[in-house]
Amino acid sequence: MSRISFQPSEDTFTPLTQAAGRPPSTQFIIDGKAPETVVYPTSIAEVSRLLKEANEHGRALSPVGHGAFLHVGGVPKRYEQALCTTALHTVVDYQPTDMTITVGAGLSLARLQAILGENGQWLPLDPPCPERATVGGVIAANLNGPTRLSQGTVRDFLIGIKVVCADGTLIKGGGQVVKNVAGYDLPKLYCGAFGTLGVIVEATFMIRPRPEAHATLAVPFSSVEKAGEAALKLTGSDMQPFFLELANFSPLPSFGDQRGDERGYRLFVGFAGMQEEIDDQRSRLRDVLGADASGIEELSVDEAQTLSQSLRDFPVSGPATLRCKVSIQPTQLATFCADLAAEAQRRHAPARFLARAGNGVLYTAFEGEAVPDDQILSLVDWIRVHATGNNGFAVVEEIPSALKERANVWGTVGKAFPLMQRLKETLDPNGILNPGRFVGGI
Amino acid sequence: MDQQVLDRLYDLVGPDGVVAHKSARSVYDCDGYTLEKAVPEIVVLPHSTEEVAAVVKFLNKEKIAFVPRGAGTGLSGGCLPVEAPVMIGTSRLNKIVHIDLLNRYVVAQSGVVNLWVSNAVKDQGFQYAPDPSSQQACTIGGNIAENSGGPHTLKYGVTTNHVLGLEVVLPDGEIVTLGGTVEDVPGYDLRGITIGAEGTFGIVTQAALKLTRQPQAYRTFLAVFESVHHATQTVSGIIASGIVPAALEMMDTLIIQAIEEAFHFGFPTDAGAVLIIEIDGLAASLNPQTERIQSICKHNNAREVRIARDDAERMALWKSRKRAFGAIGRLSPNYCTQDGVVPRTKVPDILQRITEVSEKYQLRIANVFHAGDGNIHPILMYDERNADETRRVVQAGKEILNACVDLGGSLTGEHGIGVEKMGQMPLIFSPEDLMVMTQLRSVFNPDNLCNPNKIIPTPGGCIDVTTPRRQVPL
Repeated sequence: MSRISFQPSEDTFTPLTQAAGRPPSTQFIIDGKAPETVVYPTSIAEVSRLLKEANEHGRALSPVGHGAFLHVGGVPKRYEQALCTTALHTVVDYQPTDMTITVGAGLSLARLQAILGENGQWLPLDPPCPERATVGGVIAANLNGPTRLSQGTVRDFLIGIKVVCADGTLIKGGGQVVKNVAGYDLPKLYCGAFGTLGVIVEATFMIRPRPEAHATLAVPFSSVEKAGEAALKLTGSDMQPFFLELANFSPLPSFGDQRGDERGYRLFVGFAGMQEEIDDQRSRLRDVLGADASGIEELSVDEAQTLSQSLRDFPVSGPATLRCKVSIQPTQLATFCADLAAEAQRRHAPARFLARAGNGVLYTAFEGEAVPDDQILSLVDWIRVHATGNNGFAVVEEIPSALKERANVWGTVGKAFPLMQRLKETLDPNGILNPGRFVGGI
Repeated sequence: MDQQVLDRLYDLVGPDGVVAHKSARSVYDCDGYTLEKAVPEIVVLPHSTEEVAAVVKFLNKEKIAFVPRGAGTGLSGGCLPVEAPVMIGTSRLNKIVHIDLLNRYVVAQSGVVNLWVSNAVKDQGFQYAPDPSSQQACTIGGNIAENSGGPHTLKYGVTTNHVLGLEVVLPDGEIVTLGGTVEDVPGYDLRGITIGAEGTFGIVTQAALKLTRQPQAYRTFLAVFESVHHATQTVSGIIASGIVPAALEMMDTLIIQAIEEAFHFGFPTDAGAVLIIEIDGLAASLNPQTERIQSICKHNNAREVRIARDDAERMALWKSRKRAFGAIGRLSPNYCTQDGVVPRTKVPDILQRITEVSEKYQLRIANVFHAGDGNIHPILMYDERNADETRRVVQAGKEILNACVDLGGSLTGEHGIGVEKMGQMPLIFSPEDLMVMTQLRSVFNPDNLCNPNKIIPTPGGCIDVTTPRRQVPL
């Protein structure tokens, strides 16, 4: 028997050749395509051997974790093998006093946080679905959450990486110390590369002490413009919000049901740190917001927890015909949202949006039953034209597979694209890694 | 240099953009790493991105190698012209192009001095966080090339954490934008790998830099210890307590004495070590943290813990710290500083090893460094007129870096590999790692015309430097 271990569950591994007349694996389906095989390597050496084989046979391979974000990205050009990293879940090295940890790429983020939590520490990232998001997936898809405002993003905490290249060679970049400029900054190369340059097998992060206390406040507004202005007042002040989110819906069911208007605009302001800091900021918030603070409401501990999960998971939760992520200047958010809401309404595709107000990052989800394809595509067009017109970018994160190509899900990346193509051709000359899934069909 | 090439360069940048005379060029023979020197055959100082592109396009066509240079404050020989006849200086790309306080970024040309950025926004309550000790002279372009740090990067991160986008002239003369002025740009993070590439991927001409709000309040401590051991224990204690100081710096006796002689701040010259500890953030957070820090210092036998009374005293303290390297001039005609990193808890071990190296090679070594990051800066003193001592400095420096690697660390935390540490890259990177780095370089710089002979040792080449190469007698 091969050294590769297969999980014994019937729906995880069914080679096509042995499954005549039956559908192939129901796991890790990407845009309706199922892999012919799913492999679960249990060591870096196995990953290396699998890639070497795939490369020699020109077999298209997609690295996957729990498959939580497979809907994002272009339609695979070819998809023969899914390489699932979840068996690479060891804690390789954890030095609480050095504030660094090295783990296998298949470890779930929730598990990682639980391990760090035992020492009052955390990796300051809060991407969607931490139970299903693996460390490797979070890095490859550059997944972040509301606390990016105060803490930073994946690339800020990733200090070392081990990657198996397309030909099976194991390489590393960075190291295990918090400050390091030896050699090219390879961790940045693989962060957000969507698994198209190599398979991440191990990662080292710098970590931080967990905040001692939290507070979350909700501030209602009568218009998105007013909410946007208030957000800018906060980010321009010397306050230090933990997160600052602008929503046109209530992520807390209780708000809609018991506290009146479900549809209004709200800012959700989080604070974290020592109790003294929280108390100070809570009162300062009213000063900074002035008249806007009239409807301010502090959430209970339970409500705050539910809210932070909803804010965190919004980019993947609930049914949606279309989901986009837009990155523009914070000052452009309010106008963009107002115009977008009107455009969506015209197409009978009501828009929910949630903006990382201090970062200029906007997540939108469009509901509406049976919106015609041309309406969906024209909405994508509108979003892209208005984002790029403001030197921004728009990525379509969810859309019916049949529309992906016409929607050009990643958009265009300008004059840097030839460099990206050369990079891909250099590091994956046979084009076996996630072909077709990344920008410009890379 | 070929007269036709010279003429063409004059055409492209004008007579005031060319430094051709030997005596004028000799100023450019090294950066802050003075063990190796080489005079460029010509220096060009373009006035715009377009001029940089035109020069590079021409050099690429002629297959003439070139090296970019900012202010020349680098400490690893990153802008030393090694088999690269043309030096392209960014000193005339010195404009802050755009300031956007509401969206918290500035666009600055690469020859802008680091401190100018903070100065341009400080009255509005903002700052550019990375603060290398040379920030009064070093340029944004150089900071990007080296991914520079500084004392306050412990809390705020290094250059790469503060750059949104770059305008780069690629080695073929093409102008591209990597990243942008917004946070999430699709595609590979080419901005991220260009930062810290030590000028081997092209010439950065302009950058969008994130601005950070100035903290509400600071508190700066000077903790005095009888021994380095007690000071390092304190560093570990503070980090382990969950406090993230803005800065946590250590200085040993030799450096304290040099600084005191130079700046008369009032450092205790009989102390074994001092720590500069700074916390910042919300005013409400400072008192509780102060109590914790004082108690950790006392627990580790601090002789005294002073707190800067006002902003003037705080600034004076930082001025002394940031000019520490300059003060060494009082102790020795030449010095060479190392930049190794160890896991923070290994700082006592590496300091012990440095003491052993100092004794073995009979060299005076002073220590002033970023203790909170585990980023050491031993300063090896020598006189370059003494050939034997110069050789011992090279050997001792290597031995210290080897010790860092043995302890699980790295060769460089913020100064870069340059020419200085190329030979030691195999200590931390396998041939496969280095091969991928070479491939990566070839994507940007296929003919290796842009800053050749840096970072990656040439396989089979003479990489074991036992004596300085290309030493130019002063």
